[in-house]
Amino acid sequence: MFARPLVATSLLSMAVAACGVVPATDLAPLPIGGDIELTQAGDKVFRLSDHGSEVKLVFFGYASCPDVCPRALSRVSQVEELLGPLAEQLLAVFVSVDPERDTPDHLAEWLGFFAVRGVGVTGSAERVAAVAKAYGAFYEKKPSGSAMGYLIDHSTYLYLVDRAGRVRHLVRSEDSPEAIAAWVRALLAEPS
Amino acid sequence: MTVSRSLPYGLCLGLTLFAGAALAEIKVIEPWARLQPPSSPMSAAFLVLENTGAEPDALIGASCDCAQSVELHVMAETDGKMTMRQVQRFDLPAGGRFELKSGGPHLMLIGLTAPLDPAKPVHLKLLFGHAPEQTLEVPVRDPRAPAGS
Repeated sequence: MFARPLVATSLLSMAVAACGVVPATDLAPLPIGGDIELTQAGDKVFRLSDHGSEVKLVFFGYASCPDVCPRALSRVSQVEELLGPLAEQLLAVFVSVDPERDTPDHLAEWLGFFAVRGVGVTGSAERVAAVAKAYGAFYEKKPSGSAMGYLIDHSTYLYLVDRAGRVRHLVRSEDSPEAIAAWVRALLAEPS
Repeated sequence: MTVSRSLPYGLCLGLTLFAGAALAEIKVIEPWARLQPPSSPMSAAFLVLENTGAEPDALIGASCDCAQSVELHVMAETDGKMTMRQVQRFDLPAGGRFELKSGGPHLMLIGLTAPLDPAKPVHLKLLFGHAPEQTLEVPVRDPRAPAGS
């Protein structure tokens, strides 16, 4: 019963991808998310709700992550480049799910390295868990025989959050920087 | 007399040919290591392995003068969730090609002995099940630079 619309949707997205056009996406608010209150560099409190003039890209990761997180940051940096001056109204929020090893200062260095306009935040294990739960973000510490001690499996979504603090889209790792920039522009064009 | 004199040569030749046939040949293409923020204790290295020999082989280990240890890791993304785990080997079927790339299998450089520097290549040693080990000079690439540069 659902097979035909699914095929039609896939064909449409393939056609769209082939033409290099950014697909129109439903940016209706999602029933997840909420305010985030964690610690940022300099031991200062970070509140997502203090950033009502910006659109946010929130993502969960950890600084020892050698590939996924650098890739996410590189993408955000590409999005900012595409946005030009509008990038000043976009804030990346890197939530570390590894408070044991990451400090907010360490996260700030990561963002600085990738020249991303953003903030690195973390907190106690309980607080981080509560934020991740609210966003439906998954992470799991995996003890391993690896010299790293433990690895962390985690969500790769970038949560697109509007100025009012509502999650409007889950950005997947296959979404292009062009598509992300278009969604950010759409949210910035909304009356605040 | 003739036979006894040529026998060792024949034996040697035979052994050499046998050894030659048994050795898989592994071609390493475009190795690179990722530049990370200075305080990062980890990085990753990527490359393409081609087994041009007639026998299957495997990458079974690696070491680097840049890190305390190097591990073989695989990653898989399903439903927006990334899992990474250590494996003991990357199989290289005869005539096959195995790509270690960003977002996929990679060599994890753990406990960097000094921050990586784009001006200083690192030396990576690869150990194979059959083929002789190879030591490579691996450039450090800045992930912020445009692809291909």
